[in-house]
Amino acid sequence: MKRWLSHICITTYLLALSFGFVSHAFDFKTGCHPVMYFLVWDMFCGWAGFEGRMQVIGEGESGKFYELAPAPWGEFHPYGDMARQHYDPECKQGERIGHMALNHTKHEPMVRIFVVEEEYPKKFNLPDAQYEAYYGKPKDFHKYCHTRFVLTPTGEILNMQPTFFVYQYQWGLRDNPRLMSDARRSQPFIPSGLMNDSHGAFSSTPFYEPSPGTPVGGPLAE
Amino acid sequence: MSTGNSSNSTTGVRASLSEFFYAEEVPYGLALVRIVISIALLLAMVPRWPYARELYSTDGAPVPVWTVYGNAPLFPEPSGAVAVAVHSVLILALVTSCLGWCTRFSMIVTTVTYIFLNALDTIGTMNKYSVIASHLVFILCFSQCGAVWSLDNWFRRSRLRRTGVSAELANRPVRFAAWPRRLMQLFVGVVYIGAAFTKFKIPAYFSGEQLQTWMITSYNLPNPLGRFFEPYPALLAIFGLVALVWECAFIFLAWRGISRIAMLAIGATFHFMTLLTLGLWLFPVVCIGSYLCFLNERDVDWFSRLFARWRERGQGLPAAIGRLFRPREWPVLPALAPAWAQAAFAAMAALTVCGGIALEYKLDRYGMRRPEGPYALKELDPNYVAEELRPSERVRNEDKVLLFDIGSKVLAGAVVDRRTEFRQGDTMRAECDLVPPHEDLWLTCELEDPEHRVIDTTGCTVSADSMRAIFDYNIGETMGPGNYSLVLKIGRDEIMRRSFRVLLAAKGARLAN
Repeated sequence: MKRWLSHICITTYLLALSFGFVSHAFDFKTGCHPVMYFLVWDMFCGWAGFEGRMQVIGEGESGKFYELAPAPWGEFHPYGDMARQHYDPECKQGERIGHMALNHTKHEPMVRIFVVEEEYPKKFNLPDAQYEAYYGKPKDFHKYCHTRFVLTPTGEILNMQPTFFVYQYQWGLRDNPRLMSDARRSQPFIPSGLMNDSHGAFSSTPFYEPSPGTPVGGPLAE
Repeated sequence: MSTGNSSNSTTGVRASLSEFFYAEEVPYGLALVRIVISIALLLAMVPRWPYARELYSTDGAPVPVWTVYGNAPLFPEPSGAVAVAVHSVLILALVTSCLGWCTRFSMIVTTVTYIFLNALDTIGTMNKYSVIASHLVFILCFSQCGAVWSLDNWFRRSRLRRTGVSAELANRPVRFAAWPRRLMQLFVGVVYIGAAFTKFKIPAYFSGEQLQTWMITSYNLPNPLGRFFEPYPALLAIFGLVALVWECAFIFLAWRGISRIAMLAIGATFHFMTLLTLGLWLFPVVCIGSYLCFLNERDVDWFSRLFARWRERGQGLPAAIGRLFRPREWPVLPALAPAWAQAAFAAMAALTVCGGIALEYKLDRYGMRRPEGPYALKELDPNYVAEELRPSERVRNEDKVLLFDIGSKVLAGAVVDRRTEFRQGDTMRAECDLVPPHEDLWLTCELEDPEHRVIDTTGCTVSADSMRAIFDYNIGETMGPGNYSLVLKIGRDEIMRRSFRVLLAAKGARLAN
């Protein structure tokens, strides 16, 4: 009996590992269930030349703006010098993190929550001396701010844009008039969604997908 | 007829498999894995304990794994007190696992609570090293990893000694089937070959570009060497290829003989380098810790003899190490029934839960019980907000370029010998590395003479999915000796400039132009 139980354990475990490996190798059902994260070994599958940060800003009824992340009681650094919220590469969790701050602080009623993706080139992470020695000039640090979501205080999405990288990529594609003309001509009346598994940060972005976002308006207080 | 041979062959395979999985052995390797992984997870989870409410409970901002996959919740998100209680029990279970007290139960508690908490925080806790560690502790649940080098073994020997069994017999380690260790070995091999398949799908891995950008990030912990390797993509591409070959070969060669030592040594070096260049600190501890499952009884005997030889030297560091690992005669403990040990464990768990909740309440993470009341939100400067909420802009041309180098030799698609001096007749090669995202670009290279006059202009298109361009220049006699510059431009923007000196051709050299 004990031997049979061990047979079952060995077989089940090896089958699970094999399924994860085959699934990963052939890009088959890799995201079908959260348990796949335990079976697919895709370490360091993406990369980017930019370093990302996420800011969460609340707009009060008075028109004043408040910092929701980091919360006033301090931030948690899970790995290095970066706070936890910055490890959300698509800035999708800004609403959750912002609400935690709102739920545990005293503040005026809020009217909107902004989730902002900040990006800057990673070359600015080099020490100043090394940067100047290589590039022959002092750092001209520039960060790119990209409003990902505008939300109501209850978490409903008022407006959203794709991530900074997708936005930039689509911007580049929009420069091609022939491509845009073809895309406009072949737009279906009812657009259908598109799922994609990406192994490089930019390898499989569907270039023909219409941008789901519209430009984000200015703050209400203005 | 081949029936007999086939039958023999089947029997042979079954016997081999049976030998592979069910040969009896003393679980030294798994005991070491238990100790090292418990310490590694303590290093990961103790710093997170004060933040348990924030990371894992409905009172904070958990990011469960099912929200990332878009699935229905696998289990309810716990309240703040429950999250703290579970986290406290996890830490207790890790300590008792490390010590080998109620080992099987400790490993089960560790596995369940660790996976539970991991699944609740995908951005600050769960990652691939935590998943690897989850597999290791899961497999240890099925093993007898507490049979040696543990408190449980000390209690067992004491019980035997009290019943009159001789010390020699009582101290003899118990043997068990090897299959949990075999599963762990196969798991390590599958992880590596899976990681290799990931790399096959990333073209930027083979050009060194992916590693370049990971080496200058602050995403992981600080790394001391990454920035020194980053400017040399050819070197990174070669290292990357070596790592890839090793990852593919591991599962086939890590079993016996010299190839086992080679695979494990390369692996340890690889992970140590990820610490120095990528800032991965706990990942190497977990992975190198998992290698201990490749340790067998013969290895332990070999190390015992080595330490004995070192002890015989009497002085010096090796002798000190040898003395550290000398066989010890542990005292016989007073009689304690296993039921009492389990009751003590349960009492300690209850104490840990109550103590943990009380301490966390006292720490008051959110400051809700401060005399002055909850915190107020920090008001932001309107100018800062205006900057943050400004419309998205295009990436500046200068931010699209990472490297611009000149040399004469190209390896793995990148210049390997950076030079500032060329002789007439040399071929100069200029490499421009871009970073995504960029649109289809026209890169211009202008050659300026010593008086800063443009004497040659060349260019090339770089499509949005390409990240590197190489320009070749034949330096002929038309370029007299002197100082020149090569200027990289995108549109009208000068991005970078590289100065170099042209010397006369070497004596006897004949130039085509």
